[in-house]
Amino acid sequence: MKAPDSSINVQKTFSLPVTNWTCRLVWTLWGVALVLMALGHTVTTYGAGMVIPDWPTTYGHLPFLLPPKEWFEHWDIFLAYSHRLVAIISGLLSLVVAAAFWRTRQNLHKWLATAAVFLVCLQVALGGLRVLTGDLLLVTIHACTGPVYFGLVTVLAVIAGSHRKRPSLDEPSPVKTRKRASVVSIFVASLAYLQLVLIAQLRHVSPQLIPTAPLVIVWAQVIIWGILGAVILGICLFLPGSCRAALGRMGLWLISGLYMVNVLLGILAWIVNFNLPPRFAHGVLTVEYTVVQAGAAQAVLTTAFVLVTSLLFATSLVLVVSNWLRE
Amino acid sequence: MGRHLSLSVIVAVLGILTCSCSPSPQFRLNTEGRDPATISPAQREAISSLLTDFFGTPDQPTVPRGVTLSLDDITKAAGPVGRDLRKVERGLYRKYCAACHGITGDGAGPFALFFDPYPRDFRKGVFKYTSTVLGAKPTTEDLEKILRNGMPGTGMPSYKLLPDRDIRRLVEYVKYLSMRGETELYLLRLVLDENELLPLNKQSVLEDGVLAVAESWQLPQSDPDAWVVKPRPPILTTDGLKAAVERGRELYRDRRAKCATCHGPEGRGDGEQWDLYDDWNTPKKGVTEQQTRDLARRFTLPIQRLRPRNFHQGIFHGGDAPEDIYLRIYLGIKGTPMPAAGPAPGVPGVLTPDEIWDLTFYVLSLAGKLPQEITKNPSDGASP
Repeated sequence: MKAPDSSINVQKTFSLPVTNWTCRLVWTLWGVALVLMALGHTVTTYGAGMVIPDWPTTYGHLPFLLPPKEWFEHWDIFLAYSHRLVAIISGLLSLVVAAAFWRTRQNLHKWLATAAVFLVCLQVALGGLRVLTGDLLLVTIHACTGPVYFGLVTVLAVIAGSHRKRPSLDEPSPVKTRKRASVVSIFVASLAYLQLVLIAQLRHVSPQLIPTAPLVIVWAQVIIWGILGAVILGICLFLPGSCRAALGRMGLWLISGLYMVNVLLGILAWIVNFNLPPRFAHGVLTVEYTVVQAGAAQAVLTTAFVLVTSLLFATSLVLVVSNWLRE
Repeated sequence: MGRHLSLSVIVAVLGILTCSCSPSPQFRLNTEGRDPATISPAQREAISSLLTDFFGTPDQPTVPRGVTLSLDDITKAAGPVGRDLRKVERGLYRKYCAACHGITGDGAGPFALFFDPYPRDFRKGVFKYTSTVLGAKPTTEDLEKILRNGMPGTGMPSYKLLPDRDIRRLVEYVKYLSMRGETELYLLRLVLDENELLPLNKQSVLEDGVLAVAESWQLPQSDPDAWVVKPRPPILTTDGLKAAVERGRELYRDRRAKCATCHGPEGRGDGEQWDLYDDWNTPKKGVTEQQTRDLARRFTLPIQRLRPRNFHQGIFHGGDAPEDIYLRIYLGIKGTPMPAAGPAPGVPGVLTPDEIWDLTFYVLSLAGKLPQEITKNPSDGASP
C-alpha cells in the first residue's frame, strides 16, 4: 500500500534518527490498522458484532486458542473472531511502534505513537464492553474512534517515512499561504470526520429511533458531500498555486480522487441497501433491481464506502499535520 | 495511591458506561389515528398488560394458549442480535427486519421514510401479495416467497442467501407480530371505542380476540382448496400467446376489467384515477388539505399516495412471473384499490380464469416480459 502523501516535505524531521526499521514497522502497523478497519466494517455490514457472547474470551477460549474448526464454522463468527485477533495484533504492534519511537528524540512521534496505543486500548475496551452490555451507544463510539486511530497511524507513518526524503529546495511558502492551506486542510478533515460520525449513527441505528432521524442524517451526508465537493473544486480552481503547493500536490490528488470514489461508493452503497430512491424509481430512472440482503455487492460496496471515507479523513489529517509541522 | 486512583477511575468509567446501556426495546402501543391524550393511563395499562400476558415482550415473546405458532422459532427470531454459548443464532428479526418494520412490526422503523411504499405495517394482518382469496390471511408459503424473492423496485430485500430455517423463523415471527397487532386493535376497539369496563376479562379477550385472530390465520392452511388460488397457466405456442395477448388487449379496455381507469389507456400508470391510497394511508386523508395536515399529527409516517403500476417499466413488486401477475389480477392486491377480478367463494368474478390469463399475457407483453411460449405447467395444483 502506498503512503497517502509520501512527497510531503517535513523539514523539521529531516535529520532525525528514525530508522528504516521503525519506518517499516509503522507502515506495517498502518496495513494492519487498515485490515482491522475493513474487518470491523464488514462485521457491522453482516451484523456480526454480537455473535460471540463472551469477552475477552471467545466461546471460553483465550485469544488465538479458538480451535480452527470453530473459527471457520460460521461466517459471522469467523468475521468477529478475526476482527478480535487483528485488533490484538494491531494493539501489540502499536506498543512496539511506541517503544521504538520512545527511543528516538522526536517528541511528536513519541506522543503520536502513545496516543495510538491509548486509542487502540480504548477501542478494545469499547468493543469488549459492547459485547458484555449489548449497548448500541458503545459500538457507535467504537465506530467513531476507529477512524481516529487509523488517521493517527497514517499520520505517524507519513511523518516517520518523510525523514528519508530530501528537504525541499523551493522557497518556503509565505506564512499567509501556509495558514490558508492549514485552514483548508482542517476544514476538509473535519467534514470527512463528520461524515464518518454520521455513517456510524446510520449503521448502528436503534430499532426504536423515530424515522425522521435517519432521514436527517442522510440529508446531512448529502450536504457534506456538496460542501466537500465545492471546497475541493475551489482549491483546484481558485486557490493560488503557492497555496496548492503548500497543501502538497500528491495530497490534493489523493483527496480529490478519494472524494470522488467516496461519493460514487456512497450512492452505490445506498442502492444495494435501500434500492433506488423513490423519486427515481417512479419515473426518472427505471431500473428493475432487488436488494439482496447480506449479498456480496451489499457487503463489499458498503464496507468499501466506509473504508474510503476513513482514508479520506486520514489523508486530510496528514495534510493538517504536515502543514502544522511546516508552520 | 496513584494505582488506586487509576483503578477507581477505570471502575467509575466502566460503571458509567454500563449504566448508560440503552434500555431493552419495548412494543409500542398502537395509537395511530388517535389522539394519545384521549387514552387514559388506566386504559393504556389494561391494554399493554393483557398484550404482555398473551404475547410477552420483544426480548421474551410468548405464544398464547391455543395459538399454533412455534415458540421455538419465535424465540430464535426475537430478542437482541447474536448467538448464545451453543452458537445458536437469535435476534433474526432485529438483525434483518426491525430497522424498517420496527420492533412492533408497525412499519415505522427508523428507515421507514426512505421508502415508497413504506415498509408493511403487520398489525392490520393485511399483506398485499398473497395467493389467498379476498379477506383471507396469507399462507406461510406466500410470506416465505416474499422473503426469498424480495420486492423488486422497493426497499424490501431478497433473503435468498439465508438458510430455509431462518426464513421459516422470520415468517413465524411476522405472523406472531401480526397476531399481536390484530389483538391490540381488538383491545383498542373494546376499551376506547366501546368503553368496555376495566379490568377486562382475560378469558373472553383470549376467546374473542386472540383465538379468533389465530383461527383466521389457520383457515388458508387448513382448507387450501377453498382459500388458496393455484395458478395453472395454459400451454400455449408462440401463435397461441400472440392471440392471448390480443384478447388481453381487448379485455384491458373492457368495462368489466376497468384496468385503464387507474393504469391508463396504454398501461403507463396514468389513468384518470390518480388520487389513490392504500388501507394504511387512507385514514390519513382528510376531506380538505387542512384536515389532512391535522390528521398527520396522529400518525407516525406522513401520508403516501399510491402509484398504479406503469407496466412499461417492467417492475412488479409482487413478482414478474406469469403466475404472479395472474394472482394479482385474480385476487387483487390486498389493502389497496387494486380489485380482485377472479371468482371467490360465493362471489362470481368479473373475469373468468382464462380471461385473466389473457390479461396477464397482455400485461407481460407491455413489460417486455412475455415468454416465447408456455410448454409446461409449472404448478401442480388444480385449476381454480
